[in-house]
Amino acid sequence: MYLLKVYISNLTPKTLEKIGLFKEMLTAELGSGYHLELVELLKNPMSALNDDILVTPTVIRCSPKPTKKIVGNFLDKEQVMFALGLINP
Amino acid sequence: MEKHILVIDDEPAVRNSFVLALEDTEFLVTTASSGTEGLGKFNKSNYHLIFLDLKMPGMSGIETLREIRKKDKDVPVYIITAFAEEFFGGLKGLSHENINFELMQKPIGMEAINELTHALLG
Repeated sequence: MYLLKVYISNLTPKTLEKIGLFKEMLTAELGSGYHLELVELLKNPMSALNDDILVTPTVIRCSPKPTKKIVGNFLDKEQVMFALGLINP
Repeated sequence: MEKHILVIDDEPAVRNSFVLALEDTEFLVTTASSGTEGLGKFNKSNYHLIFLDLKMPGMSGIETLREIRKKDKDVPVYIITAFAEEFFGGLKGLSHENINFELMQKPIGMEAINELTHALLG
């Protein structure tokens, strides 16, 4: 099971649309083998310190270790799978 | 087509960081030292990505972003700020208006500038 965390700046209709597309992509690739946590930075500024967040959006693979990150564009399937080291079950 | 980036920040060191980080890349960087100057440049050209300081004398980053969004709702705009509650009040107002923006933490490293820009426009 992959534990993924998405840091976004704020929730807007556009952001929600992107998150929806991201979930569709993950489900198509990983089935139910992931859990996604959404962190809205404007509401939780201190949380950025814990995960060393410099920009939004950032997606982190929290587990299994090692931690991996991708910044900026999380809708490019090949880049996301490679950068986060996600492997189809 | 060359991708055009606009950096709006009153601190010369920050503007220089972007110029240095992105020199010898395929990106063209234009800088402005105030919100007013930045809006003037924004209205005269097409940009693919904008970096905008939150706290500036005169027109703030928030006011500048509101003006940018009147013309263009889609260009990615990164607000440059410290990630701390006291800086986020005005940004929450933008959020309630459904104005889209992203966040970039100060101080800014050239590596982060380079990585993010290539991820978005590369």
